[in-house]
Amino acid sequence: MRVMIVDDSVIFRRGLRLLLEAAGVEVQRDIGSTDEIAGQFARLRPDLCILDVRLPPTFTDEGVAAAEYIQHEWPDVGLLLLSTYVETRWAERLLWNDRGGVGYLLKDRVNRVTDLVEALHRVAGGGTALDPEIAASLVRRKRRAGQLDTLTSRERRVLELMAQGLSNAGIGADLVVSDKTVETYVAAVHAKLGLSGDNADRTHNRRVLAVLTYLHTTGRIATS
Amino acid sequence: MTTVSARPVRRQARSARTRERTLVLIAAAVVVGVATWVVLRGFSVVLSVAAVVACLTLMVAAYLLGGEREQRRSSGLLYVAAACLGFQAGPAVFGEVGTWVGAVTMWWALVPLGIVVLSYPGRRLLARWHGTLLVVMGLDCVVFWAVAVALGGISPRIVELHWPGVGLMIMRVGFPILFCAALVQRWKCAAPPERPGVRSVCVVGLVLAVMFVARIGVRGLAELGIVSWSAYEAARTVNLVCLALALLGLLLEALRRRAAHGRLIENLLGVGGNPARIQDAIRKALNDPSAQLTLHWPGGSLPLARPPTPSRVVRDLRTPEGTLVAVVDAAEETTRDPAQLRAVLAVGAVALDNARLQSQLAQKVDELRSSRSRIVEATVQSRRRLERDLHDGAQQQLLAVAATLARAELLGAQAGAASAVGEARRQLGEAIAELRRLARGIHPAILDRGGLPVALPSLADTVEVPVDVDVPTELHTRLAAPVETTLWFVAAEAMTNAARHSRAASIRLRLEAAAGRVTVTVADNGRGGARMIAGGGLAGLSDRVSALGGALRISSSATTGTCVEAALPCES
Repeated sequence: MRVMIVDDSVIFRRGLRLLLEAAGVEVQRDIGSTDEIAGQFARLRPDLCILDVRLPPTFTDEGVAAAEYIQHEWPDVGLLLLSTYVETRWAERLLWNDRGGVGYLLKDRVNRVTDLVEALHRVAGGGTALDPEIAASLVRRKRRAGQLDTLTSRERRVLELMAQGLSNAGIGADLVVSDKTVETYVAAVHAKLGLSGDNADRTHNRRVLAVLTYLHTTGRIATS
Repeated sequence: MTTVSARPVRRQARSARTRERTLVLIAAAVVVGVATWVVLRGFSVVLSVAAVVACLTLMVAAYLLGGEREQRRSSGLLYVAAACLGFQAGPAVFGEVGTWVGAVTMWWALVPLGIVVLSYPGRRLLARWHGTLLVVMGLDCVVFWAVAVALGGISPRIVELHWPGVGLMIMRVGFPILFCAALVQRWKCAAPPERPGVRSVCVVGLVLAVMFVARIGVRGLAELGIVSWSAYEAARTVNLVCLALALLGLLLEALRRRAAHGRLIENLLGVGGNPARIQDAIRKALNDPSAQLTLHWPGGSLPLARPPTPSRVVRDLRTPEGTLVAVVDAAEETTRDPAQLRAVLAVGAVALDNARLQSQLAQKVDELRSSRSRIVEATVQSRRRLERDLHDGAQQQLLAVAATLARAELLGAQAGAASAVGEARRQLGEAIAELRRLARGIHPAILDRGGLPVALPSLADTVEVPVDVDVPTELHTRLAAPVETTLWFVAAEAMTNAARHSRAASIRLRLEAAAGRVTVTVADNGRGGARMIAGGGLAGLSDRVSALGGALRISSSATTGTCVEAALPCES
C-alpha cells in the first residue's frame, strides 16, 4: 500500500510518516499544501492519500476540496481525512456517498497505530472508516431523538462499530464474541431500524453506508 | 461666570417690573378716584370716562410693552402721554386755568404718542422731518401760543384776523396732515417683519390725526359763527372718546406682540431637532426667506438657500450660557424690529442647541455602538487566533509526540526505539514552551503578581530588539486590572510590531503615572509606516483604550520612527 500525506504541520506529518513507515506502510511523499497534489499524483499514483482538513491558504476546508478533486481525477484512490476536530460537516459530502474508500479520523488515532493502519487498509480497499468518537456521537444523537430505544445496549454498540466501518470480524474482535453472534446482532439491528440493504459481510461497505445514512438523517429513512 | 452674574440682573429686572406694576396700579387708582370725584362734582361723565379709559389704556399698553427691552422707550413715552391725558380732568378741578392746562397737555400728549407711532416697533424715526414735525408740534402750544398771546392778547378765539391767529390755525390743521403724510411714508417703508405692528399703530395715528383736524375744523367753524359753540363742545367730547378708543388699538398691539412671541417659541421649538426645519421656522419668523444659518458644531451643515440679497446682517445665535450655536445671515430689514429679531435669535439658539445635543448624542451612540461591536469583533478575532495558535502549534506538536512514542512502541526492542523516545522528549519540550508562550499571550500572569513595573521589563526581555526600559520600580497606587492589562497589551503589540516590521535598532519603553493618568509610550528608531487600519491590531488596541476612557496616539514617520502612546485615566 502506497500512501501520500498532505498536512501543513511539518512536525506532525514527519512524525506520522516515520510512524507509518515503522508500521510497514510505504509513504511515498509528505507534502504541506494542496498545490503539489496534481503533479505528485500523476507521477506516483498512490493507493491512499491522507489529508488534513484545514490546509493553507484559508485553513477552512481545503483538505476536503482537495479530496473531492482527487476523487474526481483518480476515483480508485482511497481518501483518509485526518482532523483535530470532531466535526464531520466538511467531510460529509465525501463520506455519505455511495462510493466507499473514504475515511474520517481524528489525529489522536496516531496513538493507536494498529487501529490506524487497519483503517488505512480498509479505506484503501474501498471500505469506510469513521472515527469511533464520531460514530459514538452520531449514535448518541440518534438515541437522544428516541429512535434507538428498541435496541439493547449490546445492539447499540454493534451499531456504533458498524458505523465505524468495521467488518463482522472486526466487530467480533472488539466485542470478543463469535462471528455468528455478531451476525445475529447485525440482523437484529437491521430489522429493528428497518435498514435497507444486505447485511451480509461481502456487501460490507453498502451496509456501512446504510447505517451512516440512517444515523445521519434526522428522520427515519424509508425502507424501500 | 456669565451665568452667575446673569441671575442677579434678571432678578433686578423682575423687581423693577414689580415696582412698575405697583406704580401703574396706584396711578390707575388715582385717575379713577379723581375721575369719580369730578363726576360727583358735576363734570361731564362722558368726558371723564373717556379720559380715564384713555389714561388707563395707555398705562396698561405701556406696561405690557415695557416687558421688552427694545420697547422700553416706547413704554416710557406712553406713560408720559398717559400723564398728559390725566390732566383732561383739569377744567373740573381748576376751572379756567384747568381748561388751559388741559388743552396744552392734550397737545403735549400727542408728541410722545407721535414718536411711538412713527418709530414703532423700532427705536429710530424713519426721517428727520418726522422728528422736526413732532418737536414743532410740541413747541406749538408753548412758543406759538405765547407769540400769539403777546401779539394779540389772551383770546380763546383763534380765527381772529390777526396774522398770528391765522398762522396758528393753518399750522394746527397742517400738523395732522403732515403727520398723516409721515404715517403713509412709514407704512410704505415698513419691512415685511414689522408690517403687522406698523399697521396697528398707523391706524391709531390716522384716527388721532383725523380727529384733531375735525376738532380744529369744528372750532374754526364755531368761531366764524357757522356752527354753535355747543357743537364744538360735542366735537371735543367725541374727540376725547375717539382718542380713548384709538388708544385701545395700542393696547391690542401690545397684546398681539406678546402673543406673537408665544407663537414664535411654539413654532421654533415645536419643529423638533431638525436644523433644516428650524431654519425654515426662523425664516418664517423673520419673514425673510433668504435667512441662512451656519451651524457651529462639528458635522452640522445646512444647504444654502437663495442667493443672498446685497444688504445683509449677520447675528450670532447663542445659548443662555453664551455658547455660540450658529450664525444667521439675514436681510438687513430684519433689524427693523430688534425685539422680534432678538427673540428669534434667543429661541432659535435654544432650538438649535437642542438639535445640536440631539445630533451629538446620536453620533455618540453610533460611535459607542460601533466601538462596542468592534470590541466584540476583536474578542472573537483574538479567540479565533488563540484557537489557531493552539491547533497549529501545541496540538500538532503533541500529536507528533504521540506519533513518535507510538513509533517507539512499535519498534520495541529494535534499534532506533531509544532515539525515537529521545525525539519524543524533545518534541514534548517544544510543545510545553509553545504552551507557555500561548498562555502568556492570553493573560500575562506576572501582571497579577507585580503589576506593570514588573511585567513591562519582563516583557521587554522577550523582544529581539534591544529595549531601553524607563519604568518606575513601583507606582503609587495599584492600577485597576483592566487598565494594567490594556497597557500591557499596548506595549506588547507595539514592541512586537517594532521588532517585526520597523527594522528598528532600538526601542524605548516608558511608563509614567501622574495627575490621574497613566501613560505607556513605545518609541522606536525604525522606518515608520505604522498606520491604524480598520480591523488591524492598532485599531483593536485603540478601541480597548478608548473603552476605558483613554486615548491611543500613534505617530510614525520614516525619519523619526514610530511612537505609540496610550494614556488611560486611573484613580490616584
